Formats: sequence, structure tokens, C-alpha cells
Amino acid sequence: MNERDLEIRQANKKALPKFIVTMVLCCLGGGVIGFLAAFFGADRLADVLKTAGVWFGWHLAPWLMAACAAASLAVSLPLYARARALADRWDGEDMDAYDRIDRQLTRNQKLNTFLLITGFFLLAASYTGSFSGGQKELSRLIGMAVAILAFFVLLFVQVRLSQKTVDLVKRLCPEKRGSVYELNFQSKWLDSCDEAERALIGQCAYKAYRAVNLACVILWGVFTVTALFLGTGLLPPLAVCILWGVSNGTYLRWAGKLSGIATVGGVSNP
Amino acid sequence: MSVRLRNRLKIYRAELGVNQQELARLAGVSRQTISLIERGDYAPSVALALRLARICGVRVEDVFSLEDDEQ
Repeated sequence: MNERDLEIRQANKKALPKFIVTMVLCCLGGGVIGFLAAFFGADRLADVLKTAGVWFGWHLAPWLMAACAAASLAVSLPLYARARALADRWDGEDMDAYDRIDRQLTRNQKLNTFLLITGFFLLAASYTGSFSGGQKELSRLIGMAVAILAFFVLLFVQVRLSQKTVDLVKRLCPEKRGSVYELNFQSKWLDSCDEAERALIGQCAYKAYRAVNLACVILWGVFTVTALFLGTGLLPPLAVCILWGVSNGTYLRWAGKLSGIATVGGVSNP
Repeated sequence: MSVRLRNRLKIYRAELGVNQQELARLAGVSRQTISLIERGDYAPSVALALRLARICGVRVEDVFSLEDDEQ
């Protein structure tokens, strides 16, 4: 055995005890939770949770959706307007001013992403609440109509804001290419990014990939337990495993494809 | 492995009399990249470093140097 093999073996040996302890603690924790759930009759929660879900979808979700649409109009648009005003005053030299514009746009983008994802969830919740049980009471239909209308308002505002934000960035950075209305916008935008921007995108994407992996493990655990005690069925864990597979499959496929290509970017300073 | 680079890009850019946007255009990168390089937050690729040195009319070692070399 050479020196390098010995180093590798020693590194594994050093990390293994902590790994085993972590696995044992997780198994014990899962076992305790499962035992307590069975002991206290968690399966009776299924009906309670289903009723709560229907109530949420019927009474709350449509109005929360309307609130998201209102927030989009009342908060996102002014935030964009502020960034636009800063950009109009920018002399093209002041880097601190540019950083302020960038921070403003990033803040707005975070808010819009949160609102859009929440909107998708609330729309699904509204469907669940309005059409469960097959009853067509007027209040349910009104709730559904409010949810659909609010969703379209939210979607319209988000798309318009995305277009305006991209146009503003293109004004500040003339080398950028692509229109949000193009189907291949993301590819065109990436192609117009230089080495530093691609390095940044790569680092962010890797962190997102790791976060998705962790989230998938946790969700798989949660849905497996809920399938056992709350009768949620096979679909949730299947959906999680599909997402997990897509994420890892895509990463591994491109890692293989790109590993043969010489990298252009330099090493970043920490 | 991290690499600490020192650069004098801002000095040479000032001697050249161009702003970041113009230097970025000449080098074929974004203004933000020039800003990141000048702040020391990004170490450019060899190709970009050579292009920048050529634009400034100096050798690449005049613009960029390793921290160890400086010490």
C-alpha cells in the first residue's frame, strides 16, 4: 500500500465514527417518533389534517393568493421603480451606486420568487379546498374564482417585472443578451455572461444542488411517515424521488460531459 | 486551493484614461468583472489576464503578481 492509499484510509477511519454515531442517532430518533406516533394514535390525525387542508383551501388560500397579488403590485413595482430611478441617475462610474442598484434589484427578485412559488402553492390549495367532496357551494366557487383571478394578476405582474428588470440590467450591462419572452432566454443570457459571472453562477448552482439533495432526503422521510400514519399514499414520496433523480441525473450527466472540456475561468480569491 | 493575487489594474487603467466600462468592452468582459478584478475579489483566467495586459501595453507580470512574490 503506498503513502497516498494510507492517507485516504486514515481520512476515512477518522470520519467514520462520527458518521456511524450520526446514523445511529437518526435511526433512534426515527424509531422514537414512529413509536410515539403509533402510541398516541397519529393515524387519527389523518381526518383532522384533511379537514384542516380543505378548510385552508376553501377559506384562506384564495384570499392569501389575493394578498400575494396585491403585494406584487404594492411592493414589487415600487421596489423596481426605485432601482430604475437609481439607474437613471447613475453616471456609469460610481461603483457604489451600481452596487446599490444591484442590491435593490436582487431584493426585489427574492420577493418576487417567494410570491410566485407561494402563488403556485395557494392555487393548488384553492383547488383542493373548492372541489373536495364534489360540493359546488357558491362560496367555494367564489373562492376559486378569486384564486384564479389573483393568480393571473400575480403571473402578469411577475412576467412584466421580469421583463423590465432584465431590460434595466441590459441597459446597465450592454453585453447582456436575450429577451424574457424567448423560450431560450436562459441559454442566451448564460452565453452572454463572462467567466467571472459563470463562475458565480456555477457556485450558486452547486449550493442549490446540495440544498435540494438535503431537502429531498428530509421530505422523503416525512412523506414515508405520513404515508404510514396519515394515508397520504405513494404519490408524495414518488414525486420527491423523481425530483431527486432528475437533480442528480442532470448533475452527473453534465459533470461527465464537461469534464473533458478545458476550463477557462481562473481560481477565485476566497 | 486558494490563490492570492495582487493587481495594479486600476493604476494602469487610470494611466490609459478609460473607465471600467470601456476597459471591459476592450477586454470582452462585463464591467462587473473589471470591478471584481480591481477589488481583488476575482482572479482572471490566463487568457483574460493576457488580454488586459496587452490593452494596458505592459507585461502581464506588471499587472498581476502572486502575494508570495510580492513578499
